Amino acid sequence: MESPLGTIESPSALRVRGLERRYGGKPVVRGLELDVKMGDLYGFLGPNGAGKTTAIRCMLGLIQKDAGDVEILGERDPVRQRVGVGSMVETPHFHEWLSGRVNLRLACAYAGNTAGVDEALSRVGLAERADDKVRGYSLGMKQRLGIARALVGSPKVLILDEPTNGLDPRGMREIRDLLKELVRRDRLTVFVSSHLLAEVEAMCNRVGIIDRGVLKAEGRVADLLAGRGDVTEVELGVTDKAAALAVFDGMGGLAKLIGDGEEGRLLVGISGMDVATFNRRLVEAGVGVTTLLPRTRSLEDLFLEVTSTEDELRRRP
Amino acid sequence: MIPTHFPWMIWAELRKLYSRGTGIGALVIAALVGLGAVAVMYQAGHNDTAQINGASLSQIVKLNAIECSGWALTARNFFVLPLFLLLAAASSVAGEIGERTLREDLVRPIPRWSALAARMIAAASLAAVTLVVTAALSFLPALVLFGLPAPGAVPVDYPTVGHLALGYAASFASDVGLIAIAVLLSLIVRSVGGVVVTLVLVLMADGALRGLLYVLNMASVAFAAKLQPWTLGNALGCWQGWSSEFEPMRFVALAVVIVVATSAAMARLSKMDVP
Repeated sequence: MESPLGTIESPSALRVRGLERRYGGKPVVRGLELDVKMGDLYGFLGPNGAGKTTAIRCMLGLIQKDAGDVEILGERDPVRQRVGVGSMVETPHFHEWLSGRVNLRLACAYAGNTAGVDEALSRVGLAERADDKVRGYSLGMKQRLGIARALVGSPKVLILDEPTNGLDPRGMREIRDLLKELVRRDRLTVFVSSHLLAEVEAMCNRVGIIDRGVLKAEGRVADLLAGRGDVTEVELGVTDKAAALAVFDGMGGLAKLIGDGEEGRLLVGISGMDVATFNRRLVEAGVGVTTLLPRTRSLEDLFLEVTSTEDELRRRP
Repeated sequence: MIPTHFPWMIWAELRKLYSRGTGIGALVIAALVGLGAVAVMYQAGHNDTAQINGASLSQIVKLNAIECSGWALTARNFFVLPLFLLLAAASSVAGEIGERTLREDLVRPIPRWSALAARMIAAASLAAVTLVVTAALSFLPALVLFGLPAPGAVPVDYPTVGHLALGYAASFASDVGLIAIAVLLSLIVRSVGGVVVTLVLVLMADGALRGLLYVLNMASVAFAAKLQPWTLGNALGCWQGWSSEFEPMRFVALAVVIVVATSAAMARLSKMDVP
């Protein structure tokens, strides 16, 4: 998904610089740098224990940071920067003996903005159960109510930690659609941490991957999945492999054989030209091209690549 | 700086407090204590069989509204109500830390101290309301049943309605002190049970200290008498002088307790990692 506003030129909605946090001397977040642009639906990924929740709690001022800066909507003051922020950290908790609606009104009272309770309940599909006591809600309903609570107070930035936890597939889909709609229709910026890679890939336009407290990759999903840097991997099927390798040699390093593809095809890394040009150069040299498949990585491939240790990478098939 | 929506924050805390079991329980107990004092006084005032030092209860008990409401005040402060106030204050801070609901307030655009202040104001309102309920439900029925003490029938220094009102006001100050301590302990031990146990231990230690100071005073140790009003128990019991004479130093000590406990609580919360 590409947001119309989620471009490199957009101003930053959330910027984190050099964020550090230790627990008992052990670094949990180390020099974290994030730049979430206005209009982004930003996926914050990382394995369990990578420091995602700690980073989010630092951003929201729930825990002290040892070093670094957090800037939200251009504001560095920890109180003022939360004016435009709605959030949900881990599993949401409520005053269980009160109704969902009253819980949202309490949240409004602290947000300083009493508007939007009914709309927030409708958007997460809880309007009909709004007057039931929260103790009777299922885990999924509480999760929805948590998102509704993040929406009250007219936020411009949403920071959500694992918002689809506890939801069934239909619920996950609905929340995913809701978040997309919030970005597209309401022009919100959404920062969402998740370990569900397929979900993030389907939903987010930009991602950051954190591992052991360090940001390992950040950028537009399309760019990150396209390959390492400007190298595109393609699987190439040709009528004459030797002739094809000779053509690569004549390309001055723009095309390199990097391995074997499926079904006897060659795995080639090309840079400095697009796939169509590569194809034309082969055909012009008299090499019959039977198959040309740009290899796309999934977010899972990328995630495993950047979060695996060297030993783990060596062990992977 | 005080958030512009601070009154809404107080409303939110009142909404929570008066729908919690401890809030409702405190109101019920306050009513029962008031009405109970009237019932007990009525019963005692008409009891000619039970005797103390050769005089029947009906001769000893002075049937009047001031005495009755004074009984209610004593019963309120010595028995259940402080525990309910303690639980109410601890639930709104330690309880909410444990339930992870305090963090939902702290992620909003407010300085942390204001969340604590809103909770303390709500708890103080419960103290005030319970005092009004106890006073009204003891004084008004007793006024109808027994009336006020007849001039000349009681000693010149017998407490007046004004003394009684000051007693209730002093009780409110004492309750605020208890709430401030409960809030501070909530941020240290972070559990409602822990707050109760810690306060009991603190008051036990304070009782031992008071005993020691009493003995030293009896032994004419000079500083003992000066230190006595400064113990926690004496500060919190400042209301006890309502029917005779207040000890000003107890109020000074109570003010110090309130200021120190509140400041320490706010300083602690400002630096605390909130789960």
